[in-house]
Amino acid sequence: MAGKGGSTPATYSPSPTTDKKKPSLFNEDLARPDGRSFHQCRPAFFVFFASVKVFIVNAVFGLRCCFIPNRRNILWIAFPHAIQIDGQMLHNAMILFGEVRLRESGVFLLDIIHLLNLEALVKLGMPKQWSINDYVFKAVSWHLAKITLSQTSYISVPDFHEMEALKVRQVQTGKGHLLLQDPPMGEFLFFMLDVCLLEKGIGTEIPDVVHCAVFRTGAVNAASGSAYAEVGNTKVIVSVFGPRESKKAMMYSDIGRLNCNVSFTTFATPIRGQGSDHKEYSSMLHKALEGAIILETFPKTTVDVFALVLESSGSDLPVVISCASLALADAGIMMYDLVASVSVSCFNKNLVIDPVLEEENGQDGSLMITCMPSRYEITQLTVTGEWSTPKINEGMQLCLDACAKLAKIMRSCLKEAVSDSQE
Amino acid sequence: MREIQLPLSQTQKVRLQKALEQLESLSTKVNSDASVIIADSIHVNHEDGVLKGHGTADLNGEVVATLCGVVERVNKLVYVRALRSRYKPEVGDIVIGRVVEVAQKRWRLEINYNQDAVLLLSSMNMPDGVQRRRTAVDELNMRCIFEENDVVCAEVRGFQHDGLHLQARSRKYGKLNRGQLLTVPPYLVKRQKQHFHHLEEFGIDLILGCNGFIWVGEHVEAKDDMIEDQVSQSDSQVLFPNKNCVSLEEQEKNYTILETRKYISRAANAVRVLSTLGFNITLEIIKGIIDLSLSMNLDIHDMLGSEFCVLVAEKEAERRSSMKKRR
Repeated sequence: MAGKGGSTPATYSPSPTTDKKKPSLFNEDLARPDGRSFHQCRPAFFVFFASVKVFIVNAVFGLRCCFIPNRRNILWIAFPHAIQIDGQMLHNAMILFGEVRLRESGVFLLDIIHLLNLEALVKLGMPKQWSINDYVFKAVSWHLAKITLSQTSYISVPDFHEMEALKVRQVQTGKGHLLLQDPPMGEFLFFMLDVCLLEKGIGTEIPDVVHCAVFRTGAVNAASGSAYAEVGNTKVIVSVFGPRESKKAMMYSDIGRLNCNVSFTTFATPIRGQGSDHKEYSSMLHKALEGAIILETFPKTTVDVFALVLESSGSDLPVVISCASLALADAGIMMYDLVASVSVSCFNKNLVIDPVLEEENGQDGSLMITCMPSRYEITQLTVTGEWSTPKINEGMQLCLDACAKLAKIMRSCLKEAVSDSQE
Repeated sequence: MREIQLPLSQTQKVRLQKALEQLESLSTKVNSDASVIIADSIHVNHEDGVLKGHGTADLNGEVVATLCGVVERVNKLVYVRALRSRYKPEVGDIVIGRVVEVAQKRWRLEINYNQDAVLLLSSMNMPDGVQRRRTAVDELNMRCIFEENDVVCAEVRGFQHDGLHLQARSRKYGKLNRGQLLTVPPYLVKRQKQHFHHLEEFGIDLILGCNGFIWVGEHVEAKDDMIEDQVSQSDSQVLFPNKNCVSLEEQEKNYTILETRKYISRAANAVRVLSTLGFNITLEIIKGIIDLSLSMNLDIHDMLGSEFCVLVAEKEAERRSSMKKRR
């Protein structure tokens, strides 16, 4: 892919998936210095100086760009790690993004483009096993001195004070753990955080869960409990009704019934389809939740959980499950613990956490874990495809770690809702 | 409760914020740090012994919460009071419900509880007011008393083996006509001495159901309606479902004058405003809001606008602070 982009600059292929050949998703060379593999440092970013108003363009072909319209210099470009990018491609992309003139952003931009060339990097003295990400991070960190990481674990970005809509909460400097409220800007801030950490010499750890998770309760007024979740580009609303009396026709039972339903909107997938109920997901959601709910506390009654996938772009079911557990908690239903869920895709020798749709389509195998982190209990485990035992172990460990982190984000969302309503 | 969803202008936002802050500072709750979420461990002193109450569970010798809410402690008992949950009945509560089913010797009422409540025919005062055994004829004529979807006011009698039982052994209970039913979160209605209110100046009745159902309707004298029913019924002995036999006079009798209807809507909107702001719903506050809207010469529909909401919040803050000063 990279070579192709370089040779035919005028016809940049708009989507990485349309390639006839499956792109080699991972390069073995891209192991990080600390020995962790590539999946742990998902997006790469290129950052250029700018201030005032920021516009974000979501481009169709996976690249995302952020620039200032009147000054026309690019703030940053992000791309999914499945795409390998070279200077020429970046140039093309920038032209597509709105006739950005390279000259204005000056030497710096060109520097970065040079850095992108792996050979050039090696020539410059970069250890071969470094990933591009690390190198670019380091390079850019020299240029961004104005960003400060305040003591109150809030990131403040003085140059970007216009972005007050976005609130970054709770930055744990140790492991680089972020809570983001606005995903596209969040990605950018992730990068910023890393730069800050580098600047301060706190650590070079890149957050493990790099996708942004956004959770909110109280999305649906009519329901007794509801939640909205956004992980990556997947967006989900779950509403919970009840507990209410079971239908007369049903048999007597001294435990409560859980009724789950997952459906898709017509516009959930890139190809406009028919929004419909998803039987398989519904039953899996049921299985994942029933272990966590204390069903004995509402005999003879039913709890209905309705999940609606607004936008489906990979790892839908894990998001639905996590969101549903939040909605249940919001509805005041007794549970042993919140349920967090994460999936991992396997590609040959590599693992990708929270795969996006394209990755899910091309995967060799998948693993989904649903667990109650504070009890360290698993409510559901789904494995498909071909897996070797050590890979499964690695995948599970990865999932459990990510679940614990996801649960932290979920808990802080709930905590906020509870303390808000206390007034 | 949640973020108040109103289209506010900047100044209104500031004013509302100020009022809410003032209210917050007035509240004397000390256990602000007691809010927990699911699987949080609750700090307890094990030496004194602990009684684990509702919303708690045991995990490796620790007490953990199974609900989101506030930790309450009564001597040894530790329990979690859920913030958002359905109504939890207590014996003697006055509730308003909607009939969902007419079954054998009983009505089933939806009262915002986990299960439907049961109102037995035998725990109802008969329309003729005579104490006697309920006969098979009475059972057949149950639909003449309450039909499906009727709104009924009753009192919680207690829990029997087959669920929650209600009773309506007084003239003041029974079917509610000619008014509006409003549903608010149950925690906004606190248990009081008096839940039936008659606002004489407006000629309306206000019933604050403990389950968060609130009735605003035209004032009815507790007696006449029932007795007339009984006379006509015992005369004819043939009982029609009451909907089909509405004569012209009856229609006239059912007519509510415009003035009263306006007051009903005004009171209903007052309740809606309180529910959006998340304030407790009591007679005085509702009266205050109605008076405020009247004194401002506000249209009924304007009461739901954001400006009025902000005004109510400010008035409430003022009222509570003045109450505090007096004390």
